[in-house]
Amino acid sequence: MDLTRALLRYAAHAPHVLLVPVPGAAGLRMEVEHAVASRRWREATGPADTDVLIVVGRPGHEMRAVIAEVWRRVPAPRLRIDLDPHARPADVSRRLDQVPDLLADPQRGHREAESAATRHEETTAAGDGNVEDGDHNARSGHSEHQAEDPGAGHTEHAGHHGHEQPHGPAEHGEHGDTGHTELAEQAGHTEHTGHDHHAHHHVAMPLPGGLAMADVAEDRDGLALDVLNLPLGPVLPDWPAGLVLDVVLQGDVISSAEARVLDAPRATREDTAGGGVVRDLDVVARVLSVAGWPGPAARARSLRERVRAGAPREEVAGELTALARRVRRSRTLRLMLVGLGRTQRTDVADLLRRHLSRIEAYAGGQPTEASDEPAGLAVRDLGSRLAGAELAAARLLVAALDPRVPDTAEAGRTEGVGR
Amino acid sequence: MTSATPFLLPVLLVAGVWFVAVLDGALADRAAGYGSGARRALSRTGREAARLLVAQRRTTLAADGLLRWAGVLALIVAAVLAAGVVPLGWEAPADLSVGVVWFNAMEVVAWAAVWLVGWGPNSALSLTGGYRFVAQGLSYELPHMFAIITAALGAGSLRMSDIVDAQADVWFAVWMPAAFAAYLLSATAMAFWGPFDAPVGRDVAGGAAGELSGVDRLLFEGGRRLLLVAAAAVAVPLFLGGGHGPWLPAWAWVLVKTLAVLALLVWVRHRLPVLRMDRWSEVSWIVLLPLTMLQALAVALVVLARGGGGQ
Repeated sequence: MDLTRALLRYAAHAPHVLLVPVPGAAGLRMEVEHAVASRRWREATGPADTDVLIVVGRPGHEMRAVIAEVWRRVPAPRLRIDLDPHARPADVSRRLDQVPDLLADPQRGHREAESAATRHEETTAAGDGNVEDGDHNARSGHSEHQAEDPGAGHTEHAGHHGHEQPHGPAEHGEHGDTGHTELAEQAGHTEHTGHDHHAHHHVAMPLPGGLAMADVAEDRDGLALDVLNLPLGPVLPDWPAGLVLDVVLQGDVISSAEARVLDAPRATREDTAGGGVVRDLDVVARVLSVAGWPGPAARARSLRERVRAGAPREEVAGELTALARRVRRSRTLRLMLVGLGRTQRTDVADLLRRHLSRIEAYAGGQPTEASDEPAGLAVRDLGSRLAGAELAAARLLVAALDPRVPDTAEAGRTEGVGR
Repeated sequence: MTSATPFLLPVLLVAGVWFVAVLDGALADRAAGYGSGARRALSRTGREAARLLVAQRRTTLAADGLLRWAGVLALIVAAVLAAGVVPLGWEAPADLSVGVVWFNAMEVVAWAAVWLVGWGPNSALSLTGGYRFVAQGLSYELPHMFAIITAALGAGSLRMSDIVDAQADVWFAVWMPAAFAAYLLSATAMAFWGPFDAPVGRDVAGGAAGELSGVDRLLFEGGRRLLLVAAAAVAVPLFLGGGHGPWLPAWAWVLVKTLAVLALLVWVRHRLPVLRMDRWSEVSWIVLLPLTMLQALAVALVVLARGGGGQ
């Protein structure tokens, strides 16, 4: 239809992009963030808001399964791009420049719409019985999503999904125009996502969608309150690559949490992220973004890219100082952050201040000592720091603590560091 | 104009939404340090709407579609009905004798709407967004009610056109500044806009709106901006003298003032980080609420002194 065609073409120039960073590709992640922002494209808040899914780096087994799950939840018209960890800025730029044309292609859009509707059923059929964490109650945040097909809920039980099946495998090679078909094919094998939960396990309990009821346990005040087991991550805005927090929630208070990194052993050590002020700016940008202050966060990111691209210190010093001053002077931000995490033996405001001081020191030409770099927390120690925090506070703590996913030289000695 | 106003209202509201979206996009690009050309800013809104129109609607497992639809539609209907009592010029599409109360009742529908949209998808992060809004409501609603009641008190009437008439000489914003400030803050919170957008925050992956795609998202985002436009429009008769002003006709003054309030609200959004209710409710209850009560008391004393109390 001509109207649809025109709308597709018109819309294709303002896509929302969901970045899925893979552990070990921080440098590439920064490059892509910059490429997206400089085109004035928006970053999506989640799969439902996504037009373009960009996998940054080469995912391992666990990440592949998660990405397939996320991809299933992305509405058509959609596009998936898999970026090789060694992709150069020119490659990134070339791939992103193709996006509007691909998104505007009505035939592609139609195929994607079909495969989006089909994929769900394949996954449920193939993934039967492979749920790793059987004790996850009351699935919700990241549970099964399906297209608006009234029959879908029934076919997954009966297994008679044959009429749609032929679309599936044939489509996989097409999307994303990437050639990484093997990634897409993983959709059928969701062993380790921790996000899947199948109706088959609760046949005896006919609850909506086969989801279990929540348990009840005592909360921090000793009152009996519903308990929700929920995996947070690894695909969340402004979230460390590959990090999954298995949290036990009561209301919006985390009563306990355990952190893990997907594909941790596979994460490559080589990382072009650089240290020093680049990392400081990255952490500051992330904290500001989670704190809901997108302007300065974007400013921090664009300065980070200029430093990474080798801009001389004198050239960016003024803007770095201005940014740090603006963030320091915000009374609202102070009101929101000060003392946050005190019961978790942390202070978000203090962590932010230390990064800002280092940025100012760099701008002022003073040597920044590696020793006073706020050491990122080892992932294994993260969980204990979050117990008792509210969800919003936990997000800020994760951003500010900057847990060291083993993607840097410190990977080998994360054990017992925990400061 | 009189007979046309009921039909004009939706057009004006949509124009207001478009104005908000364009200005918001331009300011976002500017704040990020990527300057935004006027043409790009103008076309962006259309593109964003187009991408939601062509996008597939997806839903989650065991989602409650009825709740979601009820929520999305309630948001839009409430915003339009709330705006119905605003005098466009001297006449409102519906100049109710209890206009102030009507407006307040309609905006409270937003509580239910956002909660339902958050509840519908059966998703923890959406639900978090939903109850964040309810918590926000508990913080903003009382100062909000005292603020609008203060304006009604100053005029001695709950009818919007009476309140406008009472401001022929001095705007209420001038002699009830605390009430006006509290109104602007709470209007922002009501539309979960600006620094009060934690219910749809990035940190909970879009919160209440997180699982909406396609037309659902378009309507929800549109409804939210409609609510903002309605709240800004109501500030004009309540505090900014309605159609009173030199040179221009009354309807033009209403439009100009409404756009000015909207521009202010959009600008503030890009100046401040998100105000989380676990910190803000303390400010709201300890500072804002007593302040608006004192303001109401002061206005009541002035009204009594003028002899307007015992008509």
